[in-house]
Amino acid sequence: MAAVAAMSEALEPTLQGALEWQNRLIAEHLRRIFLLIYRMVGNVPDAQDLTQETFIKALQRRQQLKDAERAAQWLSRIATNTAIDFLRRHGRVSWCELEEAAEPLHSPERTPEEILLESERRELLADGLQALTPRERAALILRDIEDLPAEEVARHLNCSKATVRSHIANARVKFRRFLARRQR
Amino acid sequence: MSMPNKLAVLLLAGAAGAWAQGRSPSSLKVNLPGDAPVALVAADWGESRESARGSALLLELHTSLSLRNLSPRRIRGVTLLVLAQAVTPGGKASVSVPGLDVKPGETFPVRLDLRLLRPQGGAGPLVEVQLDGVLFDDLSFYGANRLNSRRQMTVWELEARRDRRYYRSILEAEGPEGLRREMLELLAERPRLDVQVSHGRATAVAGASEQPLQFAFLNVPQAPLQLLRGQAWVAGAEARLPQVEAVNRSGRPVRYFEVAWLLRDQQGREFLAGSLPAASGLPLPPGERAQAGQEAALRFSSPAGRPLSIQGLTGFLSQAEFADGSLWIPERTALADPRLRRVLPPSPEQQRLAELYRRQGLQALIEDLKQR
Amino acid sequence: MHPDQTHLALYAGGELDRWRRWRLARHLARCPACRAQVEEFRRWRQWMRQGDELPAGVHWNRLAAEMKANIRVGLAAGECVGPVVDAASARWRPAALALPVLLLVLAGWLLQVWRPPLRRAPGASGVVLAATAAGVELRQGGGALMLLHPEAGDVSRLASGDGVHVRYVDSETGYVTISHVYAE
Repeated sequence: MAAVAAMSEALEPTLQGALEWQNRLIAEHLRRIFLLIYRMVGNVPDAQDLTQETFIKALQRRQQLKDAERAAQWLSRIATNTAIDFLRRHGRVSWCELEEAAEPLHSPERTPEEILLESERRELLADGLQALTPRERAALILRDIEDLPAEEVARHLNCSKATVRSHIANARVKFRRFLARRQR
Repeated sequence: MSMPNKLAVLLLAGAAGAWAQGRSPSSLKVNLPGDAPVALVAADWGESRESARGSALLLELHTSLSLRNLSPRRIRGVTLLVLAQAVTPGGKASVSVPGLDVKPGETFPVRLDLRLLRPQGGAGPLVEVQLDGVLFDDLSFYGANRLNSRRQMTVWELEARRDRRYYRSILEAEGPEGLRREMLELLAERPRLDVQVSHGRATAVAGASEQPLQFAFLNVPQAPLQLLRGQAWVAGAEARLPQVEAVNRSGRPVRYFEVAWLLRDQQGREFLAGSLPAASGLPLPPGERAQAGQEAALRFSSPAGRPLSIQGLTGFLSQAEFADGSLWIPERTALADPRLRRVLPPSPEQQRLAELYRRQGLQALIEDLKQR
Repeated sequence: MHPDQTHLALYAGGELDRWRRWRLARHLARCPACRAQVEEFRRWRQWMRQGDELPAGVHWNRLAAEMKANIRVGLAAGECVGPVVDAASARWRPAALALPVLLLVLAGWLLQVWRPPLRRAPGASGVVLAATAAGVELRQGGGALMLLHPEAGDVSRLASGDGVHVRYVDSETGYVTISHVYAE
């Protein structure tokens, strides 16, 4: 995860200070949270709604945030849970069982970075993520894109470290198979 | 109002690149008369396109016109007529921007985002943008007024003044929190319907299951006309030929009036259905009767896909123009009826203020109310 | 005997515990095929972390402004005390704002049903203009064509005498804009 700007000021000493803190929180994290949610739900309108919902929830519960420097993780957790709840409610568990095909043991001739253009990359990433279950998707995004430690991912998803490792591993294997199929 | 014959035609050389290859820049014209109070400063036609659709040309306009106020007065509204061809449907549109406050010498943008159809071939420019009207802060008007934009823009301006007065009084009586509550109410979702309007032969043919449904009326205090009776032919979600009769109770001849109408569905929910313009043949002397209506069939549907069955109709006078050109609109208090508050969309000025609040916050809204 | 795919995936992300990591490292030292797979997992992780591209077609500044505005409204709505309707009616009680009440007059009871003449409307075009939240569509015969498609969140529409119009706040200019499409 990219370095997060620290919030060094004290939390909400005045109404004006609260407003400034709120605006700063939104300005610093809006894009990251939007992308996190977009990768989970796969479309812009839902991502927009859920991003808004995340910040509203977070700011309504701002007294729960004891350490301003952990604002980023705190927001990510709310965002992840909001997205997973949404996917559960709307039944969008769109994952597919990938066949247990024999895996090629040779290395690819070219690296991914050389093959794909940016738009193809974006599409590929989105399609690949949609092939996972919501929790696998969340685990993969938080670990491999947001670069959170596995313990932190487990806290986000409110599960044990062993469970989260299982989600991460399954997600990586499925994602790799999906990409291999698309490249053929 | 007649216009001088001299037209200043502006060729948009930069447009050629954005259109299909081979089209000359003179295919797009912004026609501003020589004495117009606005001048075209720039026009970005960048994403505009044309494409053939059978025997027609589909013109996609995505353009931002930058206009400058050349007059010594502030501009409150502008209406442009956008014309591909005037005969068949889809060839003509207009774009109005009320709620402006453009000082002398200032520039302001007007965006055109629409599509038009015209037959392939034919002479003249593909699209012509004409100035139908400019409304100033003293309610004076300039323009051809072919679209009756003078009346409509004046109505919007009167509504704007009425609504700003109201919000200033709220601010004074209840402070910023009262104003915030008002804005949140404006931003709240209102029930809306989708509507299909059919003109032409279909409107004259009665359906087998149609029944006449009479209008009920909301009497608006100090309204210059009294609505007497009215009906539409209704079957399910369709209302055909809605018509209302009114009598002029004022002491002055009335040149025009409009009746807004609501419909009630099977669950008692009300929605704004539309607006019925007065029939031609006015002015209406005091004591005389006239009709407002629409020669069309309107089919309504819920955006959520819920079935709809029209069970009731209610109308109320929404505007009137006297023969001397002065206008009447309902007072704020007349619109305070809870039924109307739930159903009527905000006025353009209310919408502008609510959007200002939404994007920039309460303080920006308060400053805007104090300035104008 | 090659290790399981999931173990290779976890090894690539550094999530294995020390003992399993050591054992797997010994295997990888002898097995180029498994080594290649671990490299592939690592490359895909790296690839996923690259860039933070927004979805295609998203104008970020506009979307961010929209989200910030909606977050502001959502927070304000959550802080409002009491139902808006009650507050509205309470406002009218003060003497300064007390004004006449609307009278509802039922005009349904007539001795005769008033029948305006059925008119054959001019033209035989059978044209339909449809106004929805998406904009204004022209329908004729079996075809349809979208004429107006404002990129705005709140679009109100109204059928009037000679066509339909839509009203929205233009996202580029910020002005309330009313576009009218004429039926004929």
